[in-house]
Amino acid sequence: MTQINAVDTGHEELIHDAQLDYYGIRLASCSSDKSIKIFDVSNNQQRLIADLKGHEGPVWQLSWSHPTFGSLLASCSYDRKVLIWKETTSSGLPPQSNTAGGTQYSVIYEYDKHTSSVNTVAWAPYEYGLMLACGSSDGSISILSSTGDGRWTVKKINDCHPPGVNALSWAPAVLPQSSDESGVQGITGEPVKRFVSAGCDCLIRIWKFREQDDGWIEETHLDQHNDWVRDVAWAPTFSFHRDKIASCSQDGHVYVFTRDIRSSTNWECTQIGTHFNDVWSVSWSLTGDILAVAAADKVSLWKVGLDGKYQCLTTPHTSASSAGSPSVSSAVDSTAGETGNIPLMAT
Amino acid sequence: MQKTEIHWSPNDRNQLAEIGAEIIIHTFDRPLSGESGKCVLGGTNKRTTSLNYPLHEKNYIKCCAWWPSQEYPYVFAIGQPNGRIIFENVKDRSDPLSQGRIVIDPRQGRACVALAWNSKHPNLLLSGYDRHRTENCLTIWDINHNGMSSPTIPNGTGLPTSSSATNIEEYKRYDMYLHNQQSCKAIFEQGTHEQCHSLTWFKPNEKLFAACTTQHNTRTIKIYDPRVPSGSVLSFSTKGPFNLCCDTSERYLASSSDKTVYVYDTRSADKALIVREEHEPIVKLSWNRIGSPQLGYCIKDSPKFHLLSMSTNIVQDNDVFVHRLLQCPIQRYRIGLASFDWNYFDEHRLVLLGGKEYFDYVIPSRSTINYSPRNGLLWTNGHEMYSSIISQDQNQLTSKVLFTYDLSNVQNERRSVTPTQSTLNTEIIQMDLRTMSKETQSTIEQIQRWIKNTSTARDPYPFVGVIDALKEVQPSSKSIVKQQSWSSMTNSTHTKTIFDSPERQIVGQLCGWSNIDSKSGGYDRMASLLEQDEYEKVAAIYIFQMNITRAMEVLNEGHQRGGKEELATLSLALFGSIRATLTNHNDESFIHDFSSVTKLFHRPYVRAMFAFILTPDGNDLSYECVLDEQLDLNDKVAFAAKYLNDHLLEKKLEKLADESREKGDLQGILLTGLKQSGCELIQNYLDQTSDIRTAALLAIYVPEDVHQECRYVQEWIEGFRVLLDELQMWNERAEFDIYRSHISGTAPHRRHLFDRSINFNHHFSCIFCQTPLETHPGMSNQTPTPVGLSSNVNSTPITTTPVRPQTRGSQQTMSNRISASSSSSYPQSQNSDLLMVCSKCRQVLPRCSICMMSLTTYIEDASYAYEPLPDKHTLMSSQWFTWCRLCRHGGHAEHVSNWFAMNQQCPIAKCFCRCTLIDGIFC
Repeated sequence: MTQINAVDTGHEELIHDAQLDYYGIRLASCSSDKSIKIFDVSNNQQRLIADLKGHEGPVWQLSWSHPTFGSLLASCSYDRKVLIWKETTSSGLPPQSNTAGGTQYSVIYEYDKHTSSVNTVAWAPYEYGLMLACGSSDGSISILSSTGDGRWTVKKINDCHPPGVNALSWAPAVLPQSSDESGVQGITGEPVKRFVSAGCDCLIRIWKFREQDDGWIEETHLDQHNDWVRDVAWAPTFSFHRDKIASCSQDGHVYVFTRDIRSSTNWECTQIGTHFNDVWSVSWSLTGDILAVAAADKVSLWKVGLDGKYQCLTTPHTSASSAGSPSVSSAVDSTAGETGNIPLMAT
Repeated sequence: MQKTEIHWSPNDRNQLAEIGAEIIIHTFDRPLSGESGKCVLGGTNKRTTSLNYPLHEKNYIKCCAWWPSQEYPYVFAIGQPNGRIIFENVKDRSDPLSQGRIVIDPRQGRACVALAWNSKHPNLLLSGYDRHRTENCLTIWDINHNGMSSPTIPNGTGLPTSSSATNIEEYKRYDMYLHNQQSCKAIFEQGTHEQCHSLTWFKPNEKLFAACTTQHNTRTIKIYDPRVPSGSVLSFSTKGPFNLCCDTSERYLASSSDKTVYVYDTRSADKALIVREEHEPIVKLSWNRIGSPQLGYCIKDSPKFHLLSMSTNIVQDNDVFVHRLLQCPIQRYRIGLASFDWNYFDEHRLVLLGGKEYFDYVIPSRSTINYSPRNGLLWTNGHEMYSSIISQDQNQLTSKVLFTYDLSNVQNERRSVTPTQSTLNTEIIQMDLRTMSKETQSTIEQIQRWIKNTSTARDPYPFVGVIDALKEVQPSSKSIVKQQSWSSMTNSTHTKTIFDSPERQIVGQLCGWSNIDSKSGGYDRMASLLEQDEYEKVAAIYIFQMNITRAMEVLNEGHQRGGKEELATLSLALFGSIRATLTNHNDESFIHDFSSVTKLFHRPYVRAMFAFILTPDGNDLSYECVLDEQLDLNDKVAFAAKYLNDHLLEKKLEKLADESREKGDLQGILLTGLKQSGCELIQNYLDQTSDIRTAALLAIYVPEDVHQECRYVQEWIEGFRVLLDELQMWNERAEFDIYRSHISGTAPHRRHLFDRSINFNHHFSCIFCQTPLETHPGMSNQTPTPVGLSSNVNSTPITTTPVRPQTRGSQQTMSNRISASSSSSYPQSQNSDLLMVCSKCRQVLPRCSICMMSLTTYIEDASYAYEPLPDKHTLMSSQWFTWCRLCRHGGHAEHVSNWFAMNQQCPIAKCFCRCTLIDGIFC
């Protein structure tokens, strides 16, 4: 059922990130060779449609905006810049055939106020409008938001993680739930904008936007890790009152932090697995029930059981090593009935 | 040599030498590098010590270099403090090489500080010395000086794979020369009155080398070319004299001073390209030996390995160096890195030395992982990128996520239904439950059943739950107390007290207990249990109803069909115990003995049966022995409703409800109903499972007034719809909407976070004056059809959710918000209720960009202009209004889809929006 296909990117150097857009038809990859390549991957094929050159250093990370905004692509690089790309047609003439030359991307905004490598970019949930967060090795995080007329306003939070910011992730936009004594619950106002950042100070910090002083404040920080935190991911949720964040660190640990704001404001920490060698990246499935962990050269998937413990579903292997037939645990069956999970597993 | 050094073998990718008081050769048992050149992270690879070679003259190593030679893979050139260079064959001690016979004796007693073999011309050894007044400090030794052409080893990729016989002969010749005292001759000397600090081959093929020397307190890095008379071809001053090394691209040089790293570009060497200051002295600095240039260094007392990797440009003029810190496995032990060495064969492989530990280490490539809606997981790892594509993905996903129209006896054929039929047959729209997990499936089925059962009696759909149903009644009527005796044992005096009331009977029905005698109801729990071979459960239910005859029958049937001995035994035991209680019901000791035996049974239903039978009758029994067993909630509730008095019953049910709410056990909805506590229960379930589909399907049945109390119910629905949109399952999403509107009798609406408060009930409003366009919802109690018709107009221009009802075959890019009200567009609706203009501001409402008819116009046959797409799906969606999220132009879905089948651009003149490219299904 599952195949793992190697995608030929044509990058000359290490690939640092690959992102599919909202609908999964555009694949963008970025590399140390300073370029960003965009592939059309509809119809189960891949076709290079654009090769974006604009950065002067390795491009670290990419982020596609929600299609409401016309699928903008944000990229960040070692050259201290953040670029926002937009697809444009080359001329007024309709390109009859969508050939590789037909799609062009141009930079609609360049942000260069960081003083060191920008390591991470992430678009905010679309409910907040066009809003982008980027974190840099200079320790600061910038929040760019579009005013709608092509101009962007910038809020910079200095000294978030003094030795450098490695990763950012936005909380999903859920409306806050107020619960008064009588148990009547209601929705109060707008969602509170939150995001989580991870950095070289071994901390995970949670930031929230305070309307009254129009600024970002640190809500709390989590200090379970004892080495650089490499990636952090806020899980999609269908709850008003439960937050879930996964993080991975150079110390080889992967944690899931959960908070139930009904009962307490503290984050509870669960460790996933035991030790990962060189864990780099974590990602939640669309429904927030499966966590994918990329460590060294393998990927493992973890799902929380009804007992609250995370079980490893399976580890897909690359085609080269798949001769060893990846073992599929019986836990897979239990997911088969769940909603919206992409059935990844099985041999 | 004061401290231990570590060297990879230039001849074997898995060997390394530890050089300290002795030379120890370690061999790692498996290659870290596979055939494909892809490195596997090893951490600590298991190693074996293959050779241990005590040196003759301890502590007399100043520097050493491993000879790149296949023939003699274990020969080291060792520079000593007295300036002598000796050759040691570590493998073969009897080799004359190791007898100290082959030496290069210094002319002056000064230390040899650096040695380097030329990797391309392995007969060339570069040596550097301390200063001497009259002597040169740099020498290239040719160990094959007799005018023979030097064999070159193809060392570009490491192993001299094609090392031919001639090469071997050449080595033998070296061997001969090496055994001859005359074999070594200096072919190039340079640097009088200078002191050498460090040296490296620069372009080994051209025999260029670089060295850092001091003369009159000026430190200079020079590049020498033996072919040039003057020797040096490039010279620049430096502050960093140590650890001079050259990168693989033969362009950059790096060196260090005490605490600073310098990188020079030889094309513009006047100024250091990179200067990195560290807090502690630099211990070692070295470029990697193969692959793209990476400069590694470690600093004193630090476990961190620093890496400057170069990002090359195709146009080779502005390379960028990226600094990266690596944490080594050693770091766990908080030991400083003492040294490291780059492997000759594997690009990212290192050996790290910390304390007494070695680590065979492969620099991990950055790997990222991202979930994506359509392609599952996207994973990048180093140079590679993988997408895990689910084959048969769409089918899989579709059936996983939603419904099917269960029509005309064709169970599995999805969407074979025309809109007319489906709207007329709201009853038969069923959820596709097959893909759900067993428990969830049965729970939803049950809830549907409950709703069906109760809806006839009360207002349309709220399912209140057992607790509320009982509560409502209790003030007025009290349960009647009856005595029930075992059936088929007519003359018995032994009875059990039961409580009866109409409500209690309904509860029994809901729990599936009612069909024991009459098969009238739709739900036959017994039958379904029997299908699953749950004979014990069924028997227990009959026993709980005191119907011993049926219980025996069931057990016999099970015995015959399944052939399980124990069922027969069980029936005997049951029968016996009932008879025994009938006759001995006052015999306390008998009952005690008996029940102590039956408690040993493993299966809860069996235990519960006996416990029930053996419990002496009473008026206010709480039957813990039955109700605390691990029975299905159904059975517990039904049992409680039969045998507990009103007070105990209420308490018990509340307790059970609380328990299941805590656990998020969907079965508990039986008790709580779909009121607030039921919603909390579902939320708990959702929190644990993230099963948004089940939550959303249940949410459909949640009555409107509960929505107001528990706003999150709406979030389930919206979350599910957003998820479906994200999965590009617009049709399913639209079906969900339609289904929902059929159930709830309300026009569906879509989520808009910020205008929800304003527009909560008015989903479509005039684009100009915001007047709601909906006619009174009251008009549309039966079918929501007419309601939406007039509402086929955009509400606000801000489209947030890309809502699209279309299928793959139909028009693609346009997002459809009206799809939500798609039920409105069904053909039978009359064109007479059209709203062409807003009733308030009299502005003309949007029209289809193709046919120019009002969007509220039903199209009889859209194929007059185009061949209709041969896709069934369009039937359903063709009447829907759809538009592009970007340019906001749109029209009837069928029109638009036909348009985009042939065009890429928006049908509106002068609009160059390429609507279809947004989600690319048409591509």
